[in-house]
Amino acid sequence: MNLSVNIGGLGLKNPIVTASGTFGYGVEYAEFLDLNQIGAITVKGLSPHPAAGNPPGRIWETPCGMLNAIGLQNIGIDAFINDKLPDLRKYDTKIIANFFGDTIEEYVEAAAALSAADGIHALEMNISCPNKQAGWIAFGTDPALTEKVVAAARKATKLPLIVKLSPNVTSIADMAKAAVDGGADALSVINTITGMAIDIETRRPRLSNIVGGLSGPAIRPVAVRMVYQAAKAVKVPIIGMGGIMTGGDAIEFILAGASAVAVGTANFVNPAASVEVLQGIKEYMTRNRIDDINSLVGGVIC
Amino acid sequence: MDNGYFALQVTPNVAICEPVIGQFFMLKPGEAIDPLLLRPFSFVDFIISPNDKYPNGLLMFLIGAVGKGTNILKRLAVGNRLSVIGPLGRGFPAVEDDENLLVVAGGIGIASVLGLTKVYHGVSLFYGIRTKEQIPDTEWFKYTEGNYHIASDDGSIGEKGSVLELLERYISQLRKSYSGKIKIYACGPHGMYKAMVRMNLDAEVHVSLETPMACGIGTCLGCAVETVNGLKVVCKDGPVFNLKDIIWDG
Repeated sequence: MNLSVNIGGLGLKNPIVTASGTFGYGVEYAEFLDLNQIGAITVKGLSPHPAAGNPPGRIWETPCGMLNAIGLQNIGIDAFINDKLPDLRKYDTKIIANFFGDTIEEYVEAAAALSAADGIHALEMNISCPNKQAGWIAFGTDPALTEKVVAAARKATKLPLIVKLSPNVTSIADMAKAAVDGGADALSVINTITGMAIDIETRRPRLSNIVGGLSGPAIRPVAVRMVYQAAKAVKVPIIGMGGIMTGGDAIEFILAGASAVAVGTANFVNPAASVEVLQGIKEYMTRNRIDDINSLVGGVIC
Repeated sequence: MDNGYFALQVTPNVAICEPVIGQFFMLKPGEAIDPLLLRPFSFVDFIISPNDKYPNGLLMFLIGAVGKGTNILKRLAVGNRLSVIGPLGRGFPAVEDDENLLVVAGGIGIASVLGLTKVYHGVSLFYGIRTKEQIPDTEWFKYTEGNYHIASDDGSIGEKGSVLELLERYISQLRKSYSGKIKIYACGPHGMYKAMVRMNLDAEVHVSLETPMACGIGTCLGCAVETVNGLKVVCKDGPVFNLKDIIWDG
């Protein structure tokens, strides 16, 4: 059974990736599962300088999902490289560094700094966090700006460059094309969907940021649809994500057009979810006599 | 118990680490995706040493049925399976021999601190509740050796009014004969903690915070609280904090 996939030059032994922001810096999960079994670990979004994130109330559970407005709190690229990466690179898995900046210059700075570190195999560019302010959101929602910021980061790295798309757009196909035109080697589809919840007794929003990103099984049908549309629009490989809890969920994304899948919110429900999803994929392949996972990509019959 | 509280006993299928009072476990019944996340619960008691009946020990929880998730837990039948992660977080610090510990509970907060009476036999327990129906079996208080003080909002049991007034009077009385360090370990609603801040008690106060949580292991950063030392996560840096370190939002 062949489970290995290639994501824009990033070879993975299997299609399981952990989604950024749901797996810490990776090492925290070593006591819950064998990290060597995962195709790749995507670490929490990193910025050139440490970021404090949003004030508390940061999360709120909603039906079959959760809202979060963490606000990209992170230790900064230098601390990640010095304090976390040495432990992380001991594992036989690929490391994808998710990064962001507040300006195009910071995106370039981040991409360059991460590319110079030993043990990072690919970069995932976050242009789609719903919890940042208006000027920043334009990077992920205005196709012309998307192409511009991706092209700038592209020049700063030789590593495979994955661009994580926002679902909070009218046409995911247009955004996918813009990212590829800017030089993306692969796409992550999707980030969280902007949502809101209100405490009806106090009449206040549940989150201090007022709005937050919705994740979990609640968003899976939207994510599957967007992977399907993005895959039809561009030729580069797609990492599909959005509410994957089981191997069956992962297969659904692969049939929609994803070459790999990321397990996100499920890591909070079950820290070993990623390896259980992998097991479920294998069981599906055995049951359906599939020899190569790549033969399923985009295999939905419409 | 028909007071909105219920007891839940969990028999782990693997050996667990011995928990410290104030630590917690994440619990969720079955594989359902609504509710999706595990929920943090303090344990009220435990058996850690294996015996024939409980080869991996036993965890006991006292839970208030307040929402969808807790009501699902309440309806569980014997033999149902739970997802459990724990023990997690940092519990109450150890009390030195020359320190005087007072335990304070508000409502269901009793679940988090009652275990302290078992560790420190005869310790004084101050318990504030709305009405006497909220008293769990008084058998639960046996380790206080009768040294428990109750205040209820409606006066149906103990003194009518705030348990913090009982506490304050007790401390002033105690201070007549004791000048050493008084420690207060408390669990209750955050309004109770804010009141304790205003009272400026002559004691070192440690409190257990409750916030929404997702992962419980310090990675999602969802349960952050403001402290004088910057943002801290309740699940890993807490849930027990020194009261003076917490910055309250108004």
